[in-house]
Amino acid sequence: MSLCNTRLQEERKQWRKDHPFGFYAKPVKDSDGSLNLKIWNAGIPGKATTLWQDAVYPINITFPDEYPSKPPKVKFPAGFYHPNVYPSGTICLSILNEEQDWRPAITLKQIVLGVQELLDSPNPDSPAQEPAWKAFSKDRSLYEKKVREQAKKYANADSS
Amino acid sequence: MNNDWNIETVVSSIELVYSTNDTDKIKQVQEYLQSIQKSSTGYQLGQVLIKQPSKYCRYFGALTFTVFLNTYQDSITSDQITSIFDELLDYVISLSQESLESNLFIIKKLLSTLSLLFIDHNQTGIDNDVLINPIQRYFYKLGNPNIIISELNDSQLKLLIYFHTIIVEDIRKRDNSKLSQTHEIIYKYLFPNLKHIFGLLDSNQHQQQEIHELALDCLFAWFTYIGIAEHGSKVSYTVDPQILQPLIQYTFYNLKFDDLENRIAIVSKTCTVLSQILEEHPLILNPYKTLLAQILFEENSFGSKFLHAILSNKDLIDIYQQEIENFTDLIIAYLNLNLVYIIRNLTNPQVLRILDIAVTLTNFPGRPIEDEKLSDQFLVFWEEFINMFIEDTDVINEIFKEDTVSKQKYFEIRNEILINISIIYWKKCHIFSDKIVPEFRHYRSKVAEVFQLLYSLLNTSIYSTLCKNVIDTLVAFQNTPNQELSLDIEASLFLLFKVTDDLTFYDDESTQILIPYLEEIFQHKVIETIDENFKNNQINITLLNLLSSLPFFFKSRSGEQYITTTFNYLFSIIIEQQQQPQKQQTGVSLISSKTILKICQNSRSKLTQFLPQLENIVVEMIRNIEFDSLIRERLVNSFMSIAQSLKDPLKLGEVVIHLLNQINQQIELVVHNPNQLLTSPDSTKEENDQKMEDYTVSLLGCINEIGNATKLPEELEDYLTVEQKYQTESYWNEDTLGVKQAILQSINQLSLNYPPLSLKTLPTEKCCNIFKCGLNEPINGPFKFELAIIFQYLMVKVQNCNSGSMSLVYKLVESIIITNGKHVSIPIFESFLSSAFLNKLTFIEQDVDLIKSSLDLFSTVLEKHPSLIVNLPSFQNVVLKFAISSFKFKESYIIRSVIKFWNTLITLKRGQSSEQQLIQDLIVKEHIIDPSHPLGYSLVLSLITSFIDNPRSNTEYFYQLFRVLVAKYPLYIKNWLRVILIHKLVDNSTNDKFNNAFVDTFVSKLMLTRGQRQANDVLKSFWLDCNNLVEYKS
Repeated sequence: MSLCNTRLQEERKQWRKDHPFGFYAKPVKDSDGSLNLKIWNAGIPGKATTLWQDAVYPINITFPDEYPSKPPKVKFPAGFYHPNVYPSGTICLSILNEEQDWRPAITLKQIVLGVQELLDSPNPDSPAQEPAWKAFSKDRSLYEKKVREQAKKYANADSS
Repeated sequence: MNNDWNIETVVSSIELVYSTNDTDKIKQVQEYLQSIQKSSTGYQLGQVLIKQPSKYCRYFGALTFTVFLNTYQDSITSDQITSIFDELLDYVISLSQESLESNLFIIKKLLSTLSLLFIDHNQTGIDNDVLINPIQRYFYKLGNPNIIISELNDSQLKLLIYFHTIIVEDIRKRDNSKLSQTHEIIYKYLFPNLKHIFGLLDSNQHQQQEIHELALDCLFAWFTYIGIAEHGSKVSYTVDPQILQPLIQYTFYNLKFDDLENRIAIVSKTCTVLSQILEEHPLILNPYKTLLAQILFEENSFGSKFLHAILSNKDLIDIYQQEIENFTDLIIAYLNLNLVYIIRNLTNPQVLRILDIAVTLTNFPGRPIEDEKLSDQFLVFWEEFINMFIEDTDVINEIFKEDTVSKQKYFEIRNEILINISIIYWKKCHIFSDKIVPEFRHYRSKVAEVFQLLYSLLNTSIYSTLCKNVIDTLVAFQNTPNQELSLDIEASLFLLFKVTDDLTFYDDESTQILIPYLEEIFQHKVIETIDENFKNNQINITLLNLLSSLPFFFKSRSGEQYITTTFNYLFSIIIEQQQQPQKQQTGVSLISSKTILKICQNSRSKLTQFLPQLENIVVEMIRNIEFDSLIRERLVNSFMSIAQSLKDPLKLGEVVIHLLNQINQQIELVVHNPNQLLTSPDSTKEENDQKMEDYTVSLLGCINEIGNATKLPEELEDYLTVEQKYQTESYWNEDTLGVKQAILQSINQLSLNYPPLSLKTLPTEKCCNIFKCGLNEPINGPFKFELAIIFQYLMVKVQNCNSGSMSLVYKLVESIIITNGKHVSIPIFESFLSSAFLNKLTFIEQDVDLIKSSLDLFSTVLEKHPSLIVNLPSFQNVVLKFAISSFKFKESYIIRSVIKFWNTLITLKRGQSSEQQLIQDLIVKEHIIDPSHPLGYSLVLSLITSFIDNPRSNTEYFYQLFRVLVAKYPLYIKNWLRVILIHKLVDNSTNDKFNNAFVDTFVSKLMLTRGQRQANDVLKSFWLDCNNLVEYKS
């Protein structure tokens, strides 16, 4: 088994053993029904007492063949409203950047927690989309309104 | 730092820290104490304090030694270190002789300081053995360097165990890459002592219980350390099981049931140590596997006696909660390690006995999380257990290849265990309190994951069992309603939801098999029963969640008959929420609206009979300001999705104009009589204004949703017949009901003429989105406007709008150019350019975002339809100057846009030959920016200046433009670059490195690349040289 697959098996095991409350992460299934460990769908709950609360935001995580030497690519749906998310949905986060803070020891749990942290703490040094970035820096009430609107779109009823 | 201290003042300060509650005072005193601890007389202070009668002062003295040694570690000589070590050891012995128990916290701190000295200095080549073998020094201090451990008294033995524990615990906090020699010294000098200690404890049953507990803590620390040592050095503790034999034997010795009440702490700690060994160093337990299984699982063994004792005495469960959890961890660690064997030997009576114990612990009495944690601890194991059956299918089939009888028996046993587990967890996940704590929600979620896996293994059998349970319980509840039955229903519905949701998460096909089972539940009136009997209850939320996962069911022939009931239920939730807005309920109504939307979009053609009913609801929502905006807009989309499926433009037109008229009526009220809409007398003006703004934007959002829902599908030929297509086109060409006019009326009214909104971004966004709805429509439709009308709106809008709106206007024009560029006339675009750019230039130049937006628009026009812009006088006179001046920014997003603009202009892929010639002339001939040089020179000057001045992270953006210029205008670039660089670097720099040769070399290297990829490296190297930096590649 390749290093990538071995590590992903381990990540899956660790995730099932212990994952933060409110998050989910599942590898997708290939057409033959087998699990494709290189592509995961996951959900990031907005932190309580923030604009992002009461919603679970879907992300897609794609692991390259070189993982864990190279980081996975993490994407929200296209058009996701956040200053550090590109129009395509790709998340701009230093721990997901090979040339910045990515380390092979970073776990899936740390990645999703990092994304959750980013939601309410945008990085002012990495603007990735114009609308959210502009509103965040210049028109905070518009920004908050749009984030709340988006939170309603991804709202979840308490269901365990 | 403060060298000047007086012991009386210091003592009273220390006493104050431990006696006052005044945090400011404490902070002030601590600052003082820290300054003298770090002073050059800190060590002397420690010496004085350690001899004080006050224990606080003594502790503070021990702490002061650590602070001092950390502060001056580089200036202390090896002789000093030896004498400090000896002195601190003397204090330890003296304090322990006085009273080990009451001085323990001081002694531990001193031992930690000794450990610090050992770790920091054992590798420095000191020629005595004090720091290489600190334990030997301890024995020496006790008066006999050759003393054997069995001769130590209890106090001395405890001290020895503490010392061995603290050293390895402290090492764990250090950087392991620098500890190779330390690990070897520990293995050589400390580990043998450990073997003697445990050999002694194992053979001497009369030791104090406390010593055994300390010893087990020490073992835990060592088994954690062993992994670190093996990873950080060449030492190996685990390669030969005999090396650790005395330590492991000691743990087994402790697993005894006798005198459990008094020895429970020892048993508990032993379980923790063994769990740790099983998880981290399983190989070293290989020789003891059978013995461990006997101790844990055989009849009359420690394990079965322990289990029997706790299960037969409820008091013990309460008292020994932690100890039982530790025992369970050990069982689980054993099971995990032997999982493959267990799975493949399921018919073996010994294995069945082991599993029986696992099932018993899983079914431990009490409510999960609140009373017991064992079922939670076991969840991961059972997941692995089920998973292993899935992964091991081929091997199991191979084992029973020719023995169908045994195979059948095997699967019977497997299924029996799995059903047992599912029943246990089904019961455990019942709600037992109105207020569900997050931990229990998490637990339920994990239980659901076990059921999802069970479905993978057992397929519909588990699903049908849950459905049957719902049906049976529903029938019983309908006859005799009671709380217990409702909780049964809730638990089953919850698990059905989670399993269904998991299946829909992956694909739609796998859910088809569920339809008959779901139909049975609906036949037994699940919605009606819950709706009639429960309000604002978890069971409603659970049912709602289940419904939200069932659009595939409602799309089916079996499911469509239940849509009426479902809709009634979902709408009632939304309406109730509107009447009683609560935080919890908002989430519920949002899920309801999302479910309605999904059902309508999936099954639109089957829902046309609901149009009149839905229309009433939607109209009410448009009229009522209190409804949530997103819910209102979703329901408009739901309604219009059904209307669109009629494929009848006449009916669609009637429905659309009806809604638009309602919306326009509301807009009239907003503009002329807003008080009629506001129903809360207690709200402040600000609140009312905000509410009104949200409502008004939502009205525009509703129009946008009408547009989204009435969009034609991409495969138009498959959707409409030729005749329908013709009818649709003709109908909307005439638009006899004035739909388009009504849409424009709403847009103009709110976005242009209503002062509270005209300077806001959101209404502009909604209006732009409304116009976008029709841009891609293949034939005429309600939202397909003439481009001149859209441009007319935009040109008026830019006269009265904020910066955020300007960006949206530019984005809409970009969309128009991309989708309908060939229908845009040059005069229209020129008018727009004049209104939205030339007349606004001062405003735009003050806003970096608008600079970027306008550059992006120009790039899109140049890329898609350059003829719209390149011949305009304003392009040459203003736009090009604007694009040159934008090089001055260092924001990466502007740099990217500037570079894209120039790249697109120079390549001009879609331009006609006359336009390409025009651009070439502009670049090499026309003196647009600088009266003495052509545009190309000015461009290269700005480009190279910006390139050198930008940060390294932006440099890559520039490469492509350099390459395009080199490839397209090699001779010009060579000359321009040379002249510019000699002027810029050689003539105006004091650095000798920048001479003519430097410039020539760079220009030659760049030109040699002919604009190929190698140019990137040449440019990167040039940038590094110019900024006096080097490549940091490792």
